[in-house]
Amino acid sequence: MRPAEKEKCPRIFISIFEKIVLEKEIETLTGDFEESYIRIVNEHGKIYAFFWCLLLMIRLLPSIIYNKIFWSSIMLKNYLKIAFRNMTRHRGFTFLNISGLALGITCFICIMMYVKYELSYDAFHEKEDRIFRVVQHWEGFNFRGSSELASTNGAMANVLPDEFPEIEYAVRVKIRTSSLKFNQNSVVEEGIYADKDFLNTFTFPLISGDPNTALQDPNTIVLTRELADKLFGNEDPIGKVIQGLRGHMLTVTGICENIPDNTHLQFSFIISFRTMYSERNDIDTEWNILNYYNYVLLKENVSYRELEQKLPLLVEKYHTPDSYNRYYYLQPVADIHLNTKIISRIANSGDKRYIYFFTAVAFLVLIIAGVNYVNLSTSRTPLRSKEVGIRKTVGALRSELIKQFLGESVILTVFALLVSMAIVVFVHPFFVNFVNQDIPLDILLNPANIAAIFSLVLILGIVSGFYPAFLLSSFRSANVLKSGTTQRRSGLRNTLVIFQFLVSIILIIGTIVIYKQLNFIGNKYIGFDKNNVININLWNSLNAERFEIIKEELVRHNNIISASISDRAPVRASENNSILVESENTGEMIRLPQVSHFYMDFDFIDTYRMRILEGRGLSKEIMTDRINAVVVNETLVKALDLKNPVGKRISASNIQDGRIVGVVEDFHFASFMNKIGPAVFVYRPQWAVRELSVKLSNGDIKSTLDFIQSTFLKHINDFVFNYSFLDDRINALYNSESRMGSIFLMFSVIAILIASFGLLGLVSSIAAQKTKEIGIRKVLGASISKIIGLMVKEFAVLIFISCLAALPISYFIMNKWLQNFAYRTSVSPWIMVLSTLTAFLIASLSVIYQVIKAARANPVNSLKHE
Amino acid sequence: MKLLSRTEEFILLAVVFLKDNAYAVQIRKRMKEVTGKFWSYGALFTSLEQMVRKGYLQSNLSEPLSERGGRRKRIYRITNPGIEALHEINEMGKIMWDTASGELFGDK
Repeated sequence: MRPAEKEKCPRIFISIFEKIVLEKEIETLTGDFEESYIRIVNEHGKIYAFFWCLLLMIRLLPSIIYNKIFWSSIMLKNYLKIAFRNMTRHRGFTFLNISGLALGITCFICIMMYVKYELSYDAFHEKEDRIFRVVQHWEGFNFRGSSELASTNGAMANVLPDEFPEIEYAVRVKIRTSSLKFNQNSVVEEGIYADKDFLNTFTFPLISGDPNTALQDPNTIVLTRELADKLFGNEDPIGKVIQGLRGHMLTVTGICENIPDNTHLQFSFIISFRTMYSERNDIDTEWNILNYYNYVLLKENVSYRELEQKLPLLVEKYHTPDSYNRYYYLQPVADIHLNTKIISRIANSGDKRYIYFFTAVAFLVLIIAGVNYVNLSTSRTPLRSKEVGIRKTVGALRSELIKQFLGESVILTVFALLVSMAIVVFVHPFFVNFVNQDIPLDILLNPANIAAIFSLVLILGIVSGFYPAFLLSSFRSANVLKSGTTQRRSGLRNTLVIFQFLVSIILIIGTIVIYKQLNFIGNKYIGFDKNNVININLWNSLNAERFEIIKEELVRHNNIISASISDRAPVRASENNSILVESENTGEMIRLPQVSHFYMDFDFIDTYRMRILEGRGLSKEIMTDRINAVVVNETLVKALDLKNPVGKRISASNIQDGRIVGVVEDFHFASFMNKIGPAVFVYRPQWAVRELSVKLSNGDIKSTLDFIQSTFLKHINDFVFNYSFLDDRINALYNSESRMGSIFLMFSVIAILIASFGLLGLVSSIAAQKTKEIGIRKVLGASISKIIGLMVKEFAVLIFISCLAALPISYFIMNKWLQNFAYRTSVSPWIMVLSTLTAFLIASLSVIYQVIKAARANPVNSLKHE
Repeated sequence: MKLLSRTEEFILLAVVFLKDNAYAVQIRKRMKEVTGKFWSYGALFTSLEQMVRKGYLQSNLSEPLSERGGRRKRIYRITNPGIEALHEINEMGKIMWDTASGELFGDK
């Protein structure tokens, strides 16, 4: 035999070799392999030998893989069989488990769909990362607690590209509801005026027309496909002329696709911005107005933060010193939908905080479901102990057992995932209705999302399966074969139950408080009579006298009590201006900022049944009332500390030498989130030709509406009749709050359900464990009620602890939320008590059935085997 | 009883020749020396194990050897039935060759 050369075979090849060789012959074959290697090295050199080894390994690869799969799959078949057998044998338990998980996963998926959708607003624009809105911080301005404004002037767009080379386009946008008419078809739609580069900035593809020129000339309009169908039917709209507001004749220059829901810009038409130049001539020159939204498209690779640093130049160079108290900055377009700090008039806006909140709750629900699973599984340990004992006896490694049980929990979770996907698809229409957002289902079907959900659920399965697997494979389990019973440590189980009920109780309390607040808002006396009031849009057309005549005719109808024109209904605040009022003592004029101005006719206060506290309302009889009479509200009086407001001099927008003639009771003209601000009411009919408020009595609404419409058409033959109910509009102010309430309700129900499932499973397994104990107790003479009491006591303590912990937490959180409202209810003690009782009741229900069943069992059966 | 195939016969003869050194690597080397071809280990082992099963060979593990890092070698030894089979095939071979060599090697 040749003595071994000093060239040893590289270790790695040997170890690979050893891995696949038959156990029996590993020694001899490895030796042969080494010897061959040495021969090759001697005959052909080391490098050749290296490649020889490499080649060998590659040729062995299929065999390696095959072996691995083969050996794993042998056990896999068994594991699968056992897993399914286990699942079907304990059908109730499996059902509870899968239901709990499926519920949690469904909840999670639904919420994440919602969150993803809200986050996707405006993400579809191709140049989205370069589009920003110019917003301003206006020192001293305070509207709903914020000094950030999205409304800016129309003049800056002309200088922005010149002053800042980083800017490619500056686009102005103004939102306006308009009537549009073509031949016999007329509609009322909301749309925008936009500069010519609008279509090159935002991605609203044109079906026909040239995006570069469609908005270039004044008096041109682009329609959405839907609007085009409404107005033109099958005709080709391009080139035709539509009649718009204020007599504008607009040429159709393009048709664009219908606007998707997930953008903050919702419009049915785009009219070229220059059309407005004929209405006012200060658009390009006045820097101190707040009528337009300005968007900029930055050039590629420009840092918007750097550009922001340069923006103070705008204020210095173009603003007059009295409007220096501001600075401009840039808001990314995707941020607009969810940003509540910056004030802008956007439809259906969301709230970033709610997004964070809902995401947190989604994960919370998932965690609860996972916790549930852990609880249920660990409580079932005794049942599988025999199997574990036997497996260990015939040589199963601990790691193999863990793999087996982990696999089982993954199977269960995946199953639950499939069930929940089906539920989500089924529930989708209700969900969309529930949250008031048209979330498309293909957010879910997007493969990236599916992969994400799948892996998340997998992780859930593994994490929640880990502890039970660990427990099941432990040595203690194996001892069961010996003794036949186990003494379980119930510390963890109790903690988990407490946690679940803690969350449930918090959710219940949250739901109750939210609904209480919404109810409060709904019922709180708003300061005027909002019932049966219809608002009709007057389009600022024509003159006030015409409407006086119409008003008189309307009031003659026996269903119409009164009517009034004003610049707006008391459902939103105007842009606030400051006023000057004569002070109580010195007679000087004191400035009061942020005062809401209402322009109206003589019937406004009566139509809304507002109360005059001092002095009088505006009166048709008194001539001077038409010129300089001002009614103020209580808040204004209190703000200036006036003891005798009536008669004081007052100077406001559009009224120079006014006198206060009366004080009206405070009423809410904005959301309850804001304190009522000071307001002045002036007779200025020419400014009031915006909204008509009609108070109806309880008669037939439809015929009354028809009458109103025909009355209008009699006087203005192309009047577009557009009405809304005031109480609907007021309710709409609280859309996101009521949405939140609904979602909270949904969560509470689901969390409680999951917790109850968990409790049910828990109790049944404990009851099963305790059959012996119960049997003995019965034999010794305990009554059924006593036994029930015994079992319930255990859980009563747990729930009591949950309550104790839940109350301070929920109190704190809900109070914080209520701070958002200037007018709010309180988190009262009875809410806490009610929620506790509810949780207790539900828990008891789940416990009672199982307990009764266990208590009624014949002790003979349970003690037979001793 | 099946006859020994040529390969099997050669392997047995190699085992006889190698005496105490009859393990896989050496058998393969011997086969190369004689036939000029490298038998694959797979083929070798298959034949070896088959013949062990048939009873012509026996295999034992040697003592742990330091050159092999403490590993043992599997040494093959021919058994009596093996020797008989070798004789048998040899006899038959002789007869076959003698009777055919006239044709194969020209006139006699």
